[in-house]
Amino acid sequence: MSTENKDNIHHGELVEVEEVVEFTPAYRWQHWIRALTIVVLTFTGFYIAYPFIDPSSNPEPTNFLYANMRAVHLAFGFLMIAAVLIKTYLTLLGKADTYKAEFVSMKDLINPKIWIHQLGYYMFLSKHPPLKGVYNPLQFMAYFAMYILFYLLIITGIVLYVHVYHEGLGGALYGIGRWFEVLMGGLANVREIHHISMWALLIIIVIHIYMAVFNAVFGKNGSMDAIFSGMKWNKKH
Amino acid sequence: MNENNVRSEEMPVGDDNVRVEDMPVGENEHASGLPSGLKRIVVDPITRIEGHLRAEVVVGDDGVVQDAFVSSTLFRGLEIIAKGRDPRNVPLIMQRICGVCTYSHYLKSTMSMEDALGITIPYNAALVRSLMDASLFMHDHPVHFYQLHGLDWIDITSALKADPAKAAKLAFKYTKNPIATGENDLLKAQETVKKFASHPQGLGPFANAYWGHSTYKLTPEQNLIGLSHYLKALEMQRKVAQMMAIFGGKNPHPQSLVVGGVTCIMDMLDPARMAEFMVKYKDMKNFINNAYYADVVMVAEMYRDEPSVMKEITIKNFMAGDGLLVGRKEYLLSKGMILDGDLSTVHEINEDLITEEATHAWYQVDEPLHPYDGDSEPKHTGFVESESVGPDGKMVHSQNIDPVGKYSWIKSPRYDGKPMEVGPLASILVSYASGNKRVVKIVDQFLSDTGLPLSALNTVLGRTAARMLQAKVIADHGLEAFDNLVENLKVDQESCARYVIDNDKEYKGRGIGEVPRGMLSHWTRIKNGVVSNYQATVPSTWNAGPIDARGVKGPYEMNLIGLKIADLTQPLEIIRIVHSFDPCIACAVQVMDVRGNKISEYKVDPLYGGVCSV
Amino acid sequence: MKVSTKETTYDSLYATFEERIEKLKKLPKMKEDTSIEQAIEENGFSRREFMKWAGAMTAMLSLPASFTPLMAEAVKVADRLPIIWLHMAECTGCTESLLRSANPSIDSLIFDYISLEYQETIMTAVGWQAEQNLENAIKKYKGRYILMVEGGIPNGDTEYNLTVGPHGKSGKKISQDASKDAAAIFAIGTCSAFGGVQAAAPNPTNAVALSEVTDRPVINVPGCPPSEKNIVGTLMHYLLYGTLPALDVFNRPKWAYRLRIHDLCERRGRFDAGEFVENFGDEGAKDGYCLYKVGCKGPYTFNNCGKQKFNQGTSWPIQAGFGCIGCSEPNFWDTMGTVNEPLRDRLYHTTLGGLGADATADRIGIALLTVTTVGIAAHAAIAAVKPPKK
Ligand code: HEM
Ligand code: HEM
Ligand code: NFV
Ligand code: SF4
Ligand code: SF4
Ligand code: F3S
Ligand SMILES: [Mg+2]
Repeated sequence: MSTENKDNIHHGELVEVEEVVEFTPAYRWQHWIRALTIVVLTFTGFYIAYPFIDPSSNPEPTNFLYANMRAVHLAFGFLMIAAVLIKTYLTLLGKADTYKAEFVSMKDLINPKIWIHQLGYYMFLSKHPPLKGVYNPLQFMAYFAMYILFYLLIITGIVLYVHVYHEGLGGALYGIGRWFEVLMGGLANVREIHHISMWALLIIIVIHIYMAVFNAVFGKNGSMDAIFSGMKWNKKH
Repeated sequence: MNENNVRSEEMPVGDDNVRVEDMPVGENEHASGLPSGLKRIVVDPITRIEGHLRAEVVVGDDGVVQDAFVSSTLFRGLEIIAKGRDPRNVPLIMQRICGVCTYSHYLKSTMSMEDALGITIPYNAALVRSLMDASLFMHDHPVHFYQLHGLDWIDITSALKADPAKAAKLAFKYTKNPIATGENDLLKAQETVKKFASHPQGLGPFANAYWGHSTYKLTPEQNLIGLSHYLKALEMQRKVAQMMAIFGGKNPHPQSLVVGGVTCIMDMLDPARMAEFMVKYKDMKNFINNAYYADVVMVAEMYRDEPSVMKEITIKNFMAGDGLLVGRKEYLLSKGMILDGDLSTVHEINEDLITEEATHAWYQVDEPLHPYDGDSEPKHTGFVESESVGPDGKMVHSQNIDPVGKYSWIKSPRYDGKPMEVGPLASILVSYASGNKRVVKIVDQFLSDTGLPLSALNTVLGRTAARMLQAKVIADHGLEAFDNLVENLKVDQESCARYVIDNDKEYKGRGIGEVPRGMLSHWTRIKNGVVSNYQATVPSTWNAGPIDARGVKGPYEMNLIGLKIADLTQPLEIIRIVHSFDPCIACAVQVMDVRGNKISEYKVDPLYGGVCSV
Repeated sequence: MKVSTKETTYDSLYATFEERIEKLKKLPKMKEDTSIEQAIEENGFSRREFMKWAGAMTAMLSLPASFTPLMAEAVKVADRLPIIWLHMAECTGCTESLLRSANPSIDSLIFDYISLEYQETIMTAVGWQAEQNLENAIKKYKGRYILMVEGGIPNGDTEYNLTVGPHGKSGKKISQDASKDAAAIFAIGTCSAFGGVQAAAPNPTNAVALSEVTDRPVINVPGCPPSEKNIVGTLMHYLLYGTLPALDVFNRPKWAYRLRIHDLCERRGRFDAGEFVENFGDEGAKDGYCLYKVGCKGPYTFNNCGKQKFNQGTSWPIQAGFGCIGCSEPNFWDTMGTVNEPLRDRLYHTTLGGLGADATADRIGIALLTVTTVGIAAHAAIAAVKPPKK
């Protein structure tokens, strides 16, 4: 990985940088696993909602495309559940500095000055505020919303799942699943909430990717690379 | 011709029948609010109908009805609910107006969408729909005659005294091939009820009726035949409902019509299913001819001297829609109008002249207004505290209709300002007067079998007979649609037209035609791809509506006036008359607002491509 | 091991039968004022005739003649189950469905199993007499009758949009009064179970489910209408076992509403294969492809239609090629979207005041995504010209 920061080149001056571990490998893995599950779940989810591929080259019902799509959706669904649960656990109780730093971001979150400066920064009005944690308040809110959506998708997904597979896990979760079903006013609504949550997530992700690129281009350090390599470059002082 | 029928606009109704609100209120006044010598009778609930209906009459000392009011006591507001919904959902919502004529609203609503969108449905679809329609008529009319209306004519307690052997012989008097009237059948029917009656729990649903009433006219043996057919009809209605379910998926509330056609293509293309339909059809045809027809002839024979059912009806304006398509453009039942009972001319219906009145209906119309200016928001004013004849003949406290105020959820439709009767009687008379060959033959046969004159149809008995005659026309000829379907399937398997709904366009359309209780029309407007306005103008509304702005009453109320009631605590005569209309009050109570719905404005948009499901 | 002979089987049967009759005898009689024998005689049956009848019944059930006196005894004590059926804001479709019952048939139901004390579509009494029947039944069978209610209940300001009887009592009041002393309450049809069609937005009459107006437990038997099997089956459960059925989360009997339409569907193989009817009447429709893409809501609907079917197994909506509209689910008129479109195409026009009359979740999603992308592009463009402050 290059030690040259595009940012620095862009501004025409060369600054000495040092590599700092921003993200541990595990952290990066789970990020990309989650990213992958979202992509696969979105694709298969869209298919489940409206089967847009016509598999039938022969009239015999032997090609179980829909069932396969659902199987993939469920497999990745459970992968996502695992990833989200692990990440939640780590954020709340993780020992590594990164997770602690995530926690520290809360301090920035409740600081109105940082909010104003952060907004100002994105609106090209003010400088980037100094942060105590890893995420600025907007970022934090975005990730927080993402998690709400994950859990919504997971809960609604499980409620749908218990009606697809009645044995084992499906059977064990049946009671709680149906409790949620009543809460949401029936299975049709569950499906609808699942679907809408997907859209909300997609929109946040598009913004997320842009912000990641934006920060990578204009930010002071290589957060874009960080999520790939785990490193970022802080100015040497 | 009877001068009493349609009143000219200037002449308020009741000139010859004193109306309550015109009466002086003075020292004679009762707690009932009526002058002395007059008593009010309330009949609520009227049972053995669809919906919630009340009748109130004011009788003199002689037991003759001076004035009559009919009120519907339930409002649901489905037309309001239709607004803003996808046009394809609305027919299913409209279907839930009524579970008795379960198919009528589904079909007419679907047709209104097709009219609006300019869709011509495939011939196969039209014929399948017609076969389903036939099964509705063949279900609805016999069920009405036996289960709903039957016990107004048949006294089942008298049947317990009958001699089954004698009754079995008697049955041959009315048909060559009697059904369920062998001595054993009759004995069994008698035993069923006897066992039932002997149980300490008593008569269950038949308890506390007006058994033994002086206007029951059948002999014990005839009553026993009727009773056996009552039980047989319970079985037959179940079977004939299966006919509709073959193409409709279920009954009540079939589910196989879509805007554009029908969905039951697998059943339509399945010879076993088709045969099943045909066989059941013939089975029911047999019942209609050898039980229903025969019993109506029997009833006509015995009741022809009973004044309460032979009084000539006063409103002799009849309106009918076309019904039961059997060929590309051929219907079994003719459309048109008869005015003032004049059978020499069948008038064309000009739908522009249909209006509504809500002066006495629970909607927000303060003054008597022309319906084009009407408002369809509900305004419920309820009943007033008063008195009426109680179950034991004494005056008791009750909630009563306010004759000068609003008193029903049903509006009063008018044609060119005139009240009209719709229903099988209208349909049969219009078809007869139009020279509809199939109908003329069957009507003439009935008249000769009973020895009654044609004018006898203008009575309560005639109305009940006409319903049977309509069922017979359909039973005898409906399979023409089946034969044409079979023929057409050899060359064409289309079942659904394709179309798209353009969200940028506005559409208007209506579905109109004859249903079991008369002429039904559904009117729709579509805007932004959703229904923006919706009205159903329903048969029972025409018949059961309250007094209009000019003080003119509709068919139900007019039919009751002048009726003599033998026993004020047992108003069987009232029930018999009201039942003769086959009330469907859930149907009747649909807010009618024809403002702007002139038929001339209903432009048909050209059919253009797309897919049925889009 | 002793092989039980016919005789010993009958012996033990006789014993249990006797025992049951003794127990039944101890229960309070329905009508205290008339003895059964009295009633029988009053209605022209002699004791001899009655015993003859009991003999015939015994033979019909293939029991030895020794059972005849017992049978006569049993008839005397076995009461038909009293039923009160109320009509509220409804279309009578549920009553019609009841009439379609075949096993037991509606006539045998009425004459052999139940005592239909009040049912406005079937009963002969009218007006005051009808009202008396209702009041008497509630009194006489206090705590022992089954209440079945068809229709939603107009509530609140619009409670009096339904009144019945000479006293103009509201439907709500009538159903509350009848609920009080019922042994069990069945809400028949989606109207009564969940409010139904009149409760669909904007619910002009404030119609609510029966369970909203009474504190008594209500068993929901939804469907619009429910099949004859589900109505009568719920009743037969009570008649056969003397108990109420196990219920699901929406208080529906599990025996009928445990599984989804989708789980019992004859087209499920097609679904899993991804073979869908694209347009009504197409080749797929002729071959019985799955109706999901033309709007089937079977995956979200709990009912046994595919198993029990309607009209004595004649058919059901999916067999007729239409697809399920979700008629046994709460608020299905509002939650299931367009009948001929998959759920993802549910319209959201109401929230946008008619502006986006065709708005579905996907369209709204795409629109928002487009707005987002445009915003991003604008932001990026500005950033290219005027980078953020350092
Ligand atoms: C351009 C490439 C991307 C970069 C540079 C990037 C960077 C980051 C960074 C730095 C974080 C915060 C660290 C973390 O919490 O894991 C993050 C979080 C996240 N990213 Fe990305 N990301 C990228 C693409 C994606 C994509 C394509 C997806 C999904 C399809 C995605 C989904 C997520 C999610 C769900 C989070 C969750 C927040 C959390 O777990 O705390 N990212 N990303
Ligand atoms: C990013 C996460 C997810 C996305 C984007 C997503 C998307 C979707 C979509 C669009 C649908 C179709 C809904 C419709 O008919 O409109 C669907 C269905 C479904 N999803 Fe997900 N989903 C996600 C996560 C999950 C999870 C975590 C589970 C849990 C196991 C799950 C289980 C299901 C099930 C069982 C169905 C219904 C399948 C059927 O009924 O045949 N999903 N999903
Ligand atoms: N009136 C009425 Fe109906 C009919 N037939 C429908 O339009 O009954 Ni329910
Ligand atoms: S549930 Fe359906 S069928 Fe039953 S009364 Fe209500 S609308 Fe009619
Ligand atoms: S037709 Fe409906 S219920 Fe049957 S498999 Fe297809 S989606 Fe499921
Ligand atoms: S619409 Fe209703 S009838 Fe059955 S198939 Fe669906 S639940
Ligand atoms: Mg109307």
